[in-house]
Amino acid sequence: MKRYSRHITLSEVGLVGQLKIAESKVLVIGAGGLGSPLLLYLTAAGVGTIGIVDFDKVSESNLQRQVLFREQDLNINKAISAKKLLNARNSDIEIKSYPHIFDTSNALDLVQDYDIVVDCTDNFRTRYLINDACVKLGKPFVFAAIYKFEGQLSVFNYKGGPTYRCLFPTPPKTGEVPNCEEVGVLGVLPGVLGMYQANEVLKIILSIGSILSGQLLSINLLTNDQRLLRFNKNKAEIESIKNRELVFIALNDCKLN
Amino acid sequence: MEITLKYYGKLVELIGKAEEVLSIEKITVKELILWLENEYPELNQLTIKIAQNNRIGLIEDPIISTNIDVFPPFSGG
Repeated sequence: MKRYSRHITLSEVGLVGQLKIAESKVLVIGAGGLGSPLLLYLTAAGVGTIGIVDFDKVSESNLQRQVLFREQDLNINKAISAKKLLNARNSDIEIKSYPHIFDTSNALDLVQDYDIVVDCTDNFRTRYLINDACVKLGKPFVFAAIYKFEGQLSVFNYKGGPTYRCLFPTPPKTGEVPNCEEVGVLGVLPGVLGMYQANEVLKIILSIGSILSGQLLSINLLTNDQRLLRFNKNKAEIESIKNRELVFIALNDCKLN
Repeated sequence: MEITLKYYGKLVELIGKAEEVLSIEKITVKELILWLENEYPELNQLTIKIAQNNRIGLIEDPIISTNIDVFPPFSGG
């Protein structure tokens, strides 16, 4: 526990809090720009079990922002590579890699085994599926998404709070929202947002501070403008998710990772 | 009433400005979205959310705040 002494010294964490972190299970979907800093900090914090889902391989253009990976990791699956790199940083914790697409065939089984889900994906198709699986199983999910120099962050389905579909009920149409591949992104942007996600994960585990439930934090790194926008729960939307089978929305905006 | 619309993400490029001031009579959130789609046909069919006074309300709500945020969902990660 010596390695966590700076946590334990905090009255808001303490030994009890550090044990909560050690007992927690966090599923990270997407080990890319958001996932890299998030995974590094959850590993350093001693999160007891971390699951990593990513079907994709590390490519050269990832290295500009996906700071977990090194040149020698090129062409290796991200979930498998991340597990090895993170275990070298903290051998006390259990890291499970799932080198697959997160889809309707495995979503409920994966989410079921974890306390908190973190959405580090880059596409709406997976995001709506994560939302629906978390609503069905009553798990909170920590969301972030980015565009060039701007980011959005929220915590959905926290203690029965608003969900992603309460904010955006209808999935965008094909090609409506471009991804990083198409428009580019400042490398530090997913770093900032991924670390905000790690911060929300730790606050949820420790039950400290105020959680971004029912609030969308909007951040612009060019102007340093930040907004905290509040929104309400849509009970009808949540009930209809609970009452239907999981669906994968039509393939639309971009690659799946 | 004069309102200031602040645009986010892709909307800034499609509209060609980060914000603008608008003079309005009594309108609802839905009517404001219709006005935007009419003024900027590029926005047609896009998902747009409106927040006023830092709250994202219902489409039927009247516009009562002078500071309006207009934003799309982001996708990247």
